[in-house]
Amino acid sequence: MPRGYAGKLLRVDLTRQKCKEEPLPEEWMKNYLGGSGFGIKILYDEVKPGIEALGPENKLIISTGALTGTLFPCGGRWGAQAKSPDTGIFGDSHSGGLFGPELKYAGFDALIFEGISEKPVYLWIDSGKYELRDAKELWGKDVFTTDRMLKEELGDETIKAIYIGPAGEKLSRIAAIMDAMYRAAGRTGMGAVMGSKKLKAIAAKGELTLEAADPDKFEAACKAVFDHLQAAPISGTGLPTYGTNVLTAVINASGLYPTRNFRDSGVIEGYENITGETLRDTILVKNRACRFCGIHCGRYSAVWSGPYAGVTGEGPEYETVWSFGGQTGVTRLDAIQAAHHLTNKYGIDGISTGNIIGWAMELYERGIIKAKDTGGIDLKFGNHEAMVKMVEMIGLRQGFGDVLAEGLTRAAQKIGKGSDKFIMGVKGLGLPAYDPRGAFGHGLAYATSTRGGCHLKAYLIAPEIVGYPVKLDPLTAEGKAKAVIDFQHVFAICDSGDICKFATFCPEVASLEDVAATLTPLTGWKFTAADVAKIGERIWNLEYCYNAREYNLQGKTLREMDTLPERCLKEGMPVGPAKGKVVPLKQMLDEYYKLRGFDDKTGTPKPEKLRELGLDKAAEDMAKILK
Amino acid sequence: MPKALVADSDLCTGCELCAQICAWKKFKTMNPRRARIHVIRDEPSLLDAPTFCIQCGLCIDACPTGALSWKDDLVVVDEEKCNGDGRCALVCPYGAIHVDPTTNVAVKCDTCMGKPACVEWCRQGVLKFVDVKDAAFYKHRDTARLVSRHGADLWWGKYKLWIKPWYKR
Repeated sequence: MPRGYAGKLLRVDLTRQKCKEEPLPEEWMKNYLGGSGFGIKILYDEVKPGIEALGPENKLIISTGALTGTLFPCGGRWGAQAKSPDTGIFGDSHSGGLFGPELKYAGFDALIFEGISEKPVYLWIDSGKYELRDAKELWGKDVFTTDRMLKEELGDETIKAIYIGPAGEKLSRIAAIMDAMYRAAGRTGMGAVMGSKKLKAIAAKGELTLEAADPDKFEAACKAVFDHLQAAPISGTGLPTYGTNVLTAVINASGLYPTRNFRDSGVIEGYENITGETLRDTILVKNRACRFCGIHCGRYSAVWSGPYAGVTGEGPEYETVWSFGGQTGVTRLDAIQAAHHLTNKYGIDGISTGNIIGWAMELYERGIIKAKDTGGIDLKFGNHEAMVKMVEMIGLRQGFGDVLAEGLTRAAQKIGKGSDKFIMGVKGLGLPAYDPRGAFGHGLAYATSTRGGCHLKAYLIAPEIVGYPVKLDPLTAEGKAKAVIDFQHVFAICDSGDICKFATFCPEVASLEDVAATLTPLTGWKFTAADVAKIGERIWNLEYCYNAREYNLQGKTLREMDTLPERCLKEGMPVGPAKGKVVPLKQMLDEYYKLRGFDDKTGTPKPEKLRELGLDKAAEDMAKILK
Repeated sequence: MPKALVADSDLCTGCELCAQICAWKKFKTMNPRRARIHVIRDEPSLLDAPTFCIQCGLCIDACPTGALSWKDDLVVVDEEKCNGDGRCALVCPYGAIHVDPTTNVAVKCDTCMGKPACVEWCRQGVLKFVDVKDAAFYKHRDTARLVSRHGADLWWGKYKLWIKPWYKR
């Protein structure tokens, strides 16, 4: 038994209300590491394609990785995987906070939830013991109240818990699972899956411990990571000083800030009001950190005056500053923080919520939806009152919010009238805060991401804009496919590690040298950086196969889904340094499939490649699809 | 000159790395619950702060078996003599000494014998290991903050009652 893992997983059958412990197969640890790796392995083997994401056949996996809860700085994370109700493909979302390590200390590396409970329940794990408890009292409560009530009911202030808010209970397809009140596994609607299973919360308390195979070497390796993080400029100074919002100024200056549903992209006038520097000067109270963090990018803010006085809580982050600021044309921090606070309170994804509100605003300005559709709300760009009201309505599924809570694809079907033309999303998932027309490689990362339009499966902004680890020209297609592939493997390792992606801002972690150097003494198995990258490639290919299987049933190919919104491919960037540019996606995509060894007509992974990675079952499935 | 462990709690973000490295150094295991330094993270009052032993020696008199004693400037536990009944934990006003459930022996901070690992691993600079004559300043400041915080809490409580958050109005 390798060290570093708790060594068990818990299978919870919610239909029969039974829990079963299982040993964690060693093959999984060695080949998939944890986190997304476990998630995709379980989903691919146990969940059939074509099932209803909010039905009983879907499985929700809460997973931790090899480095979760260890001495590794930035190793305090956990993830949730299931078939996504928002996109219909692989759903995967990760969060920091407090819960991940506690789950391992409580004796489990992963939890698998199957079936649907008849009445609301929550799972309580106490150092190896577990029980499903009645959640009648908790059901319907917001995130903050749930946290308090759980601690009071269990009579222990030191428990760590994850939970859903009203949005998850009401099956909003953009609902998040929340941790420590303010941290969210937001994207791809994992909260809705949890809500569909009538599982309100998971609470854990752990007194078990984790060990390392070679303690002295492990400590030295972790201290090296800690020192590397402090020495690197972004993880050592930029993020701790200004939070993730340090990017607002950078991205505006580089001219790829998506403004008003990507319509006026480039730079937003008045961005000085919402930068990380302004945040620090105005509403910031103090810094906050997730567990065992070596970076400390969290903010705690309080709005002291104006219409939103009294809002206190963690945030805002760069992504929410964009989604409630740039995307909706609101350049005031107090309104943004109010909206951010409401997403925490109701448990919804900040990026998707802001993205969809911006989309609705464009429809409103184009006259596709009218005031009678929105219930009298004047959804004009820049109207902060309407924006905050809309967040509340989405969270509680009231009025027009009920339509938007269904996610971009379904909302467009409901509204009709060509509204789908203005969707700024990939594979149904709303795009985050970087306009790909100003960074082509990042566009390829959006298009090929296994969970839809997201920046966390490969972050080409780092080389293209920030110039790290090497500076790449953002406005060329040359060499981008290779860079995206390498990044995707590194981020697959972060997601299965389960470590924070900000740790990759230090070069030693990004090259996976430090990950291999900590994994080897931790588990007792020998890993080199190349071995670790291979694990990343395996996970990435399996995720692709999962999506290929789903799309094949719907008669679609990955090639046609691996694309960007029309706006990014046809309309030139309106302002800024990248003015007039569009993303040369086809050229990059061809190169990408070639380097990956995928079939370039359909984008399906080829069986030979999969066998080489030890994915025999997937190879058979893909051979059938390719026929 | 003896050195003292002091804190600038206002900088604490609640990351618990100090507790993690403490448990690791002493037991070679990972779980902050086994540490000798504890981080309190209390949500409504927005409190993130470490609590640790100040080497006051109050526990020495409480120990029935004489397991606790001064060694240079530190209060140390004699593991042979300790019977694990926890009277030291009873008298400690900081909760800085407790009986470890696994070994059944009292554990407390010994500043890693003059080289505290928690200080080395605190990126925020909350924890400091300074000469006693400098320590006075930090102690004055944390005490003063404690007193003024109490006032601020009262004020904050009133403020919150007076001006309801907008979403509750």
